[in-house]
Amino acid sequence: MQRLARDRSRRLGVISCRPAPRQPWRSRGWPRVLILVLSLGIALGARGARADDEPPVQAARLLERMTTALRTLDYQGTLVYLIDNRLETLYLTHRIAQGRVQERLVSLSGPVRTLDRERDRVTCLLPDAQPLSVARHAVHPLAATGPIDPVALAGRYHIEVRGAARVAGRDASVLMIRPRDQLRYGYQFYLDRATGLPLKSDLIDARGETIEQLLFTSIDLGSEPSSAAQAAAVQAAAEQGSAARSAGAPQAPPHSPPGPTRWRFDGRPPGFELAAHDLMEDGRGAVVEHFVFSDQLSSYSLFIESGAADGLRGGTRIGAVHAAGGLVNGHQVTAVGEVPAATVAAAVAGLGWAEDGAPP
Amino acid sequence: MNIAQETRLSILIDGELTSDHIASFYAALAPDPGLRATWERYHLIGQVLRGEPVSREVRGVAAAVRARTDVLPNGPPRPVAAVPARAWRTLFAGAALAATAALLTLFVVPGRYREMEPMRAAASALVGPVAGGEPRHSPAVRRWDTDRSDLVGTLDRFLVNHQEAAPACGARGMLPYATLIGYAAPR
Repeated sequence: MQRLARDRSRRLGVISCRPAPRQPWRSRGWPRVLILVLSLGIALGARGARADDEPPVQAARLLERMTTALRTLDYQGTLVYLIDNRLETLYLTHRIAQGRVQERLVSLSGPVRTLDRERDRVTCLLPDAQPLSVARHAVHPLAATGPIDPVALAGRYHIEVRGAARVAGRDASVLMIRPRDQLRYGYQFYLDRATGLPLKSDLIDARGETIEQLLFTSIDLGSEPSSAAQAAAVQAAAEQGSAARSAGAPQAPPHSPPGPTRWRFDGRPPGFELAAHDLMEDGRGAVVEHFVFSDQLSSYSLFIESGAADGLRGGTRIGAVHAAGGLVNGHQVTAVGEVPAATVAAAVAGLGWAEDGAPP
Repeated sequence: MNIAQETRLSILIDGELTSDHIASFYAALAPDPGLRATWERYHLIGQVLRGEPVSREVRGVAAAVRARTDVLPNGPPRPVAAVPARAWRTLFAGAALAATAALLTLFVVPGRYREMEPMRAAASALVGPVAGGEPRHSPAVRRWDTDRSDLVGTLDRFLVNHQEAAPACGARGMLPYATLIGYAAPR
């Protein structure tokens, strides 16, 4: 009987053993547990670090391709622009002429609205305003900026390669640059696998929610340039002024940075640094001081007018572009940029005047 | 303007013009006042057919385009390709569309406006009297949330200057300008 019971126990996999008495935790057991936990932590940390390292490399590659494509390819197509649950259709023509981007954007729905970026001017036609013409500086210090650098953005943005998608019948890689705070917007780019062109761009907030979208519904690519032609175009883009002169084309007004300013920007929104300082003319011939602040992706401008008394007071917006204005030390100050309303408001509020003439 | 261009415009409005011909058509549109006026009429017809409020501002587009083309060199218009074989069919369709619009204008639209009279009165009460006593056919275009055209012009100029000077603007493509061109008042 006892033998039968033993055999049944074996068949059922039951192991009969006497339970060991419960041992209290001994002090020499803790180091082993500690070592185990530390090892596990180090292993997971190393794996996480590798995972964090990979996206910036891949993201940098995608962003570099995007910049090269925008500067070297000719293309045209129909775009759809979505904002505030409304939809507008646009037609874009983009071509490279003598190393400089020339574009035309035309609205296909509603009243005719056009914008042309020509060699030396940007002209804009809107139904409720006078035609607008703005000079493009030939040698602007920021005109030859390189691709967006994901490493430089890491402190303010979370960057993630988010797999694949399909836009305008073409395969695309999805790259998200999401802001880490509420003071800036980010982007989700859908980049053409074949060329690197952005086929779709979503403007997103810190929660990753879409604010506006721009996407191609159809696109015609011109002949793709050879690698030598690409290198030449990039080089020409970096030397725009000399390229324009060598071609004998009409030269844009040269950029001459103004001297030091007495304005101080100590109270500006965090993460934004002064990127450019320039003088421009308003539509009536008066001189306006222009400061550009950037976190290397998002940016806003401060325009300071000495004689204007009827400028913007408070905040306003057009789509995702916000503006804020007010009087500071007797000057009309207006902040404009594709940033949240709080950012332009803080830019105006944070402006000061240095009585002692100290540099900003 | 000739029949071929008008036909091409009709095909464009129908959304059937191939992308190869769109660029050349736009180049021909800018310097041709007759073609621009036809463009406006087609848009007005479309607005009436879709039951949308008719915007008075659209009538100012031809003058604005003319003013711009007078000031800025646009270069010669590109040659227009031969008229496709289906042009006559589309021309008849365009004529039918125009006839329908005329009928709507004569018989249907007045009735719709009479039906909308109480709503218009309520809207007038909300927004206050309109200059000249004319009924307002559509909400005013309020880019930048203001009716001050001088302020709108200043902010538009600031925005274009900002986009041209902003770092990474080129890397983001036309997205910043799409806000300016694509943004229209709520319809």
